Amino acid sequence: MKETPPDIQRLRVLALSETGFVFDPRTGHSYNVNAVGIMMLEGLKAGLSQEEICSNVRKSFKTGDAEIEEDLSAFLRILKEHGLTDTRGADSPKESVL
Amino acid sequence: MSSTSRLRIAVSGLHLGENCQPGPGVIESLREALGDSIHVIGLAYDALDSGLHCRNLVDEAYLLPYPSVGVDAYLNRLFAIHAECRFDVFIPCLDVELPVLVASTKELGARGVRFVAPTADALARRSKDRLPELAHACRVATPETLTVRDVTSLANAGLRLGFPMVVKGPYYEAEIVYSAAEAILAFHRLSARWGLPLLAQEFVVGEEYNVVALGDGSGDMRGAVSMRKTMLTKLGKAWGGMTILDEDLTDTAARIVRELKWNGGCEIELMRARKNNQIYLIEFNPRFPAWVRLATRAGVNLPLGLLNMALGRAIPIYSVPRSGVWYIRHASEAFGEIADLEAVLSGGRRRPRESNS
Repeated sequence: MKETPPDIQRLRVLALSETGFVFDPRTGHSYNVNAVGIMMLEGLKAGLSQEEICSNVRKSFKTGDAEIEEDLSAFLRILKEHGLTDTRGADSPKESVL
Repeated sequence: MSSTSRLRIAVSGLHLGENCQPGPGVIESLREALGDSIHVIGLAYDALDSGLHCRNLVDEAYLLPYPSVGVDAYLNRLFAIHAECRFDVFIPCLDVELPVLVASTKELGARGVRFVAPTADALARRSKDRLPELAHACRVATPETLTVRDVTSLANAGLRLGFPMVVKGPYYEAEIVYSAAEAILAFHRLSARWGLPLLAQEFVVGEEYNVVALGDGSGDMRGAVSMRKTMLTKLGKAWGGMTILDEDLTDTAARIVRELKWNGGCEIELMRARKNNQIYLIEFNPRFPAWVRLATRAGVNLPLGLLNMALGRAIPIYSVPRSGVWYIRHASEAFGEIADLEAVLSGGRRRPRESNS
C-alpha cells in the first residue's frame, strides 16, 4: 500500500445501509456504492488498515491482489474528491441523489 | 371545540407562489403540535394571496394594506381586525411588517396585540446593507457588499467585485449577473420592483446552507435546524431541501443570534466556499423561512416555541434535529367563486371556515 492512511473522521459520521446507500449527515449528500464499496467503506469506518480491508475483500470476492489494491486506491481517491476524507467541500458529488 | 374557546392566532405571509411566504409553514407547524385547539386567522395583503383561499389552512382571513401604504392605515386596519375577531397572538411572517410593528410595540401592547419581535437596533443591524458590520462583530466572513444607487455605482461595483456578481433587492430577490450588460438589466428589474438602493455582492462559489433558529432575546439560541437546498427556483429560493447536522453552521448561527440578542424566529443564510471551506454569512432574515415546517418534521417545532414566547410560557426544550429529513414542495391550486373574491375585495374578509363548508 503506497497511500497514506486517510483521515477517517468524516467517514465515521456517514450512514451506510446494507443496500449501499450512503448518507452524509453533515452535508446532506448521498451516494451509492456497490458490494465491494460497502466492504471497503465499512473497513475504513472501522479504522482497519488498507491491508486488512484488501484481505477482507479478497476473502469475499476471490479477486487478484493487484486488482483489489487498485480498486481501493481508486475508492480512496473518489472519497477524497468528494471531500469525505481529508478535505471538505470538494466538487459536488456526481452520484448525489435528491 | 368552539372557535371562541380555542387559542386564536393571527398569521400573515400566506402566499405560496414562486416566492413562497412563511405563513403556511408556521400554521402547519402549529397545527401539528396543537391540532384543533387553535383557531387561525390569516392576514393577507392581496386578495389573491393563495393561503387566503385554502380552507384547510386558515379558519378565517382578513385583508389588510401593506405597511408601505402608511403606518396609520396599516395599524388602524390591524386594530379593526383585532376588535372584530380578537386574536390572542399575532405571528408576523414578512420582513416588511417588522419595522412598523417594532416601532409600534407599545401601542400594539396597549391594544392587547401580543407578538414576539426583535429590538429596533437588532432589526437594523441585520439589514442587508449592514451585514458586513454584523459579520465582523460575529467573526464570520461575508462576501464584499457594495451599495448601489445608480448605474454608475453599479458599474463601479462590477469593476471592483468582478463577474459573476450578485445584484440584490433591499428586501427580496437577487440575481447572479455575468456581465455589465446583465447587471444593468438586473438593476432596472430589481429597482423597479423593490426601489433603491440595491446591493452588489461578491459571488462566492460553494454550497448554500440555511439555518432556521429561535432566539429568546437574551442571546441564547433555543433551537436551530440546518438544511441544504436541494432544489432552487429561478429566484434562488428553496423548492426542496434536506436537514443536515453541521456543528460549524450551528455555532455560526448561535454567534449571530447571541450578538444580536435576537428575539424571535429567523433564518440565517450561509455559504461554505468551495475554495477554502470557509463559512460566509450571506443574509439574515428576520422571520421564519417558508421551509420552517422541515424543522418541525426534523423534531424541532420552532413556531410552537415562538407561540409560547408570545404567551409568556416556557419554550420547549428541543432535542437534536434529525438529519436526512427532506422535503420537496408540491404546487397545487386553490379554487374559488366570484363571491369569494367579492367578500375579500368588498368586505376585506373571508368568511369563517364553518360557514363556508
